[in-house]
Amino acid sequence: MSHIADNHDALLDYLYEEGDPTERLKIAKHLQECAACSVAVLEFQNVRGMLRYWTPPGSALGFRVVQDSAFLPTSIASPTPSAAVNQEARTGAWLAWLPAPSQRIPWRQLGAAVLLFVGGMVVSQVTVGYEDGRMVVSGRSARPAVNARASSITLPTQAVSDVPSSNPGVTPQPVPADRYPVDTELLLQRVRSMIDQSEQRQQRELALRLSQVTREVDTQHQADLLRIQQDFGHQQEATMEYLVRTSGGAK
Amino acid sequence: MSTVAAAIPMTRTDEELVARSKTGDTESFNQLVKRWERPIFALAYRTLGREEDARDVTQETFLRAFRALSGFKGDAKFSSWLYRIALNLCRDWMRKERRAPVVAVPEGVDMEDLAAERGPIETVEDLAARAELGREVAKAMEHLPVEQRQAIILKEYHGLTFQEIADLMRCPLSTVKTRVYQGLATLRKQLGDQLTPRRES
Repeated sequence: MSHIADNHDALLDYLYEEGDPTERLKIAKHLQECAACSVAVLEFQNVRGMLRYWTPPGSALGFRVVQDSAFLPTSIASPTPSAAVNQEARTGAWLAWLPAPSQRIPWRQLGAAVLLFVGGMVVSQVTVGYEDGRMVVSGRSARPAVNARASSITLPTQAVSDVPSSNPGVTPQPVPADRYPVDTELLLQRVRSMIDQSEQRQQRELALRLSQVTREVDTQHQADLLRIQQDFGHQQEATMEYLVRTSGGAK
Repeated sequence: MSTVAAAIPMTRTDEELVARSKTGDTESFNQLVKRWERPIFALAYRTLGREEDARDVTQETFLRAFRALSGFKGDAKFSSWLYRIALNLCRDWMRKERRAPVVAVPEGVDMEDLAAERGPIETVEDLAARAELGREVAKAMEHLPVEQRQAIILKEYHGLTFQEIADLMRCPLSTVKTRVYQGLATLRKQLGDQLTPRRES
């Protein structure tokens, strides 16, 4: 086999584990026999190892796109305002980039929403309370309710976001018990599938890491052997020179 | 669909989120932004070398993607499409600014970020050494031609195959391999001083 150090394609395929696996196996065998190629591969692997130290700053990004022209006049901003963003605001585009909600609060919209909510509750005479760990939403319409229990919507706490919009004048009906069935079988299947995928991924990563370590040990071994041979050669030469010198001196 | 199942945050694929975004579902697009903003920022940062520029390019990348989403046919992966937009923006940015990439030496490697990644036995000296190595790599990368630098960045930090990089950069596979090889060879020379002690150790 030709030297891998002279074959850039093969070298890169071996380094990045691409291309034909059979060819990579041949290269691995060649590296066990050829110290020069082992050293070349080791040097490239060291360069790749150093590249890992270059990390980008972990600054918060949190870009979001919103389609609300009401935000535009004053609130277009990114986590770090820039000329590009300000330019976007000046052009009056309908699309705005906003930071994550945790970084910015639209107070005006929030206030309006609270007022609307409170007003709605007052008009529809809705009361919200907790009974036995459950949220209970009770509504009193103009029509007297025959049974107070019949006019309340009882929801599991986690299903609060599914409360349908109230229609004034219509007595809310109790929600049937099977409205929110707990599909545990589906849930279990999903969890099992996630666990399986995770295990497979971990096994793949472990196998990959083991092969990398083995290869690095092999190449390091070859490089050490080369250095030992070179040192041994130097020692032999020095010994020979010494012997020649001393034998010449004895004559 | 039951409420419990609906309450579980489902991990949708990029293709699903793109399809939903095309129908006007902004929140789906925001999920794509959340998923890909960090890799795009890292690509831009390593190409341009300045945090502020990288942030602007990242923002502009998603803005352009959102506007052009209806024209995205799905022939390539969504991530590849994003990478191509970001690479083009980086190139335009460097051309417009008429300058080489800069190496943000003081803030290029954040000690807090490093501390978050460090292993249990790393000392402050180890962290400082890592930061120093990161700076050396950044300096060495700065000297590479932009095509070589981008090819190495896509290969090393984003795990793309050579063929994917060739498709992104719109050049033959052999050209990509040549760029990566030449770049690595140059880095080997540039980082020679740092590599020698590591080899001997």
